Amino acid sequence: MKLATAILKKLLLPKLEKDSKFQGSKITESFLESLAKSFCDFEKDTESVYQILYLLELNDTEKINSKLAIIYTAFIKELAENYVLGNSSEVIDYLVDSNNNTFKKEVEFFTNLKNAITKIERKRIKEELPTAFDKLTFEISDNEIELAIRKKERESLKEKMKVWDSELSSSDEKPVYTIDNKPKSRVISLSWIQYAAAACVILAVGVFFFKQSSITNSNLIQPTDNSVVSVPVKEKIGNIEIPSEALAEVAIVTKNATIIESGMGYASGSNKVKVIEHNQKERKLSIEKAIEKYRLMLEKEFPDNKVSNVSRAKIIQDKITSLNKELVELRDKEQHYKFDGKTLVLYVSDSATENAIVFYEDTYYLRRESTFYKLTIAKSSQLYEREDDSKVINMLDQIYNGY
Amino acid sequence: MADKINLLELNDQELLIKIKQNSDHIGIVYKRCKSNCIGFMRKMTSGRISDYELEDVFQDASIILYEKIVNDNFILTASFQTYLNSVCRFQLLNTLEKSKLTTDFQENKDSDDDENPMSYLSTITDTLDEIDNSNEPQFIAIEKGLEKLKAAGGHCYELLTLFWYHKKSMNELTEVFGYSNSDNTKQQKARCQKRLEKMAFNELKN
Repeated sequence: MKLATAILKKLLLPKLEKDSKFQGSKITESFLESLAKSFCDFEKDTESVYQILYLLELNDTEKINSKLAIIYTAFIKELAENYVLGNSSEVIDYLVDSNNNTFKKEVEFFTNLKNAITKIERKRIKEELPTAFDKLTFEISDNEIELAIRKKERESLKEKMKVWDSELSSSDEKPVYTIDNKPKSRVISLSWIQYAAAACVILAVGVFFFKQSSITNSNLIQPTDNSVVSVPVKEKIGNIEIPSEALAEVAIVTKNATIIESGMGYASGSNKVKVIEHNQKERKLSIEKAIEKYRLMLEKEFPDNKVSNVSRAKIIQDKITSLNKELVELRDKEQHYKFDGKTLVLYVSDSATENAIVFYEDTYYLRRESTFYKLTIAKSSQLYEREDDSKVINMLDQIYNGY
Repeated sequence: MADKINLLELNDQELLIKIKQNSDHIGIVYKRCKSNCIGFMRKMTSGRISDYELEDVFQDASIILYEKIVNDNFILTASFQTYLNSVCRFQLLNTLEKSKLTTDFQENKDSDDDENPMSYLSTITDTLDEIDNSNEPQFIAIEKGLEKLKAAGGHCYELLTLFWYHKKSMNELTEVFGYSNSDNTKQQKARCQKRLEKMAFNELKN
């Protein structure tokens, strides 16, 4: 009986403690025993369980009663598991004798689970037996690990260089600075630092020679800001020259987020999601700034809507329209995300301190600034779906915080 | 190399504790007892059975020994060699025609001298529990669910395996997986089982 009462106590007590009038002293062993006995027949007779619970004189007994079905299922499940594990109890004997259907189903599941695992594990052990001893004594020295990693990194770097070479040879010659077609940023692992250092030296020498040379190019201007890039001052469309506005690039940051599995904040190192964050803030600001400049230009050049040069006015207006269109597109992108199960693409204006991925009940959730968003695996962009169910949020918080 | 020698020098009782902690240690028993046990079975069957088949019998015996150890009710009263010889003998007696066995072994002439690598005890009749429901749809569905769980990565598969087959306690699992306490481990296990239940249900539906 002790097994059953202990299970019941663990399941029931957290719920009872929430009641304002609950008195722990009323939860005696005899109370739990009679409740456990009545609970075995909960499916046939709920009244007797209710009557026992009324003895606790709770403030809101109905609230507890509404949760009894869930508690009953968990109670039977635990007893069935114990039965399959070979533990005995009076209550288990009663459930077996009374042919309780829920109990029978659970026993069937756990028996099959135990047997299936036994079958798989026996096969695995049998296969691994001849090498088990070597596995126990197998050791790799730090030196061997270092050499292997170095070799692997060199190979992968060579592979990447090949890809870059093919990209270089396939692309047309481009100006040094472009507005929109700047190559996407790459995340380079720190292990390449030695190569990066070598590249820096080459670059520095290049800059030195460049400065020494007398060749000047009025179209080349050093970037003045990290995100905003200066461009040729004027753009020529037909015979009309329009001052061109510099637009910032979308900053792309790629990070690997370890999936926090359904429980305890302990995550498997092998399960990761690549999170690509497109920060559009600077780009949006620069577009807004450009629109304002073009608008002022229109006002200045064509005051009181007196358009003397229709083509020029149209070109400026078209520029404003196209920038507005891009602004709308960027804003729309921020309502969506793309997720294929391995890579998550986000379009944002503010970088979050962390993009955490939590896996719970076969669903992935993104935790961003303390808010959870349910993620759908799909080829196309999906609208953000904020998780509002407080129970689920509670569970996700527990998993995230590792309670 | 020093570790290798240390492991091979463990006595049976020390080894028993090690096996309880980590199933890979059964590999030491395997390495230590295999050739004598195969020799014992060869003698028993007068070479009428191939070494390949005898090896299979010995591997089954090693699994029987492992399962006995982790089930916590195992008391080692003879050496591992004697135990494995006895289990192999009992398996052969059950599966082979008596004509294939030599007279000594049929007549239960026990030799419980632990120092003798050919010793056996006829009182040891441990066998591998048969899994008789492996053709039932629910069993197959759970088996497939487990495979998917394993392929999905994460801790669920290992957690369930360590609990159900290797009989690890909640405290041991808490330590292995680095959870904060055994209640959390229990909760995690329940979630893994629920996940598997869903996977198995989907398998049954397909």
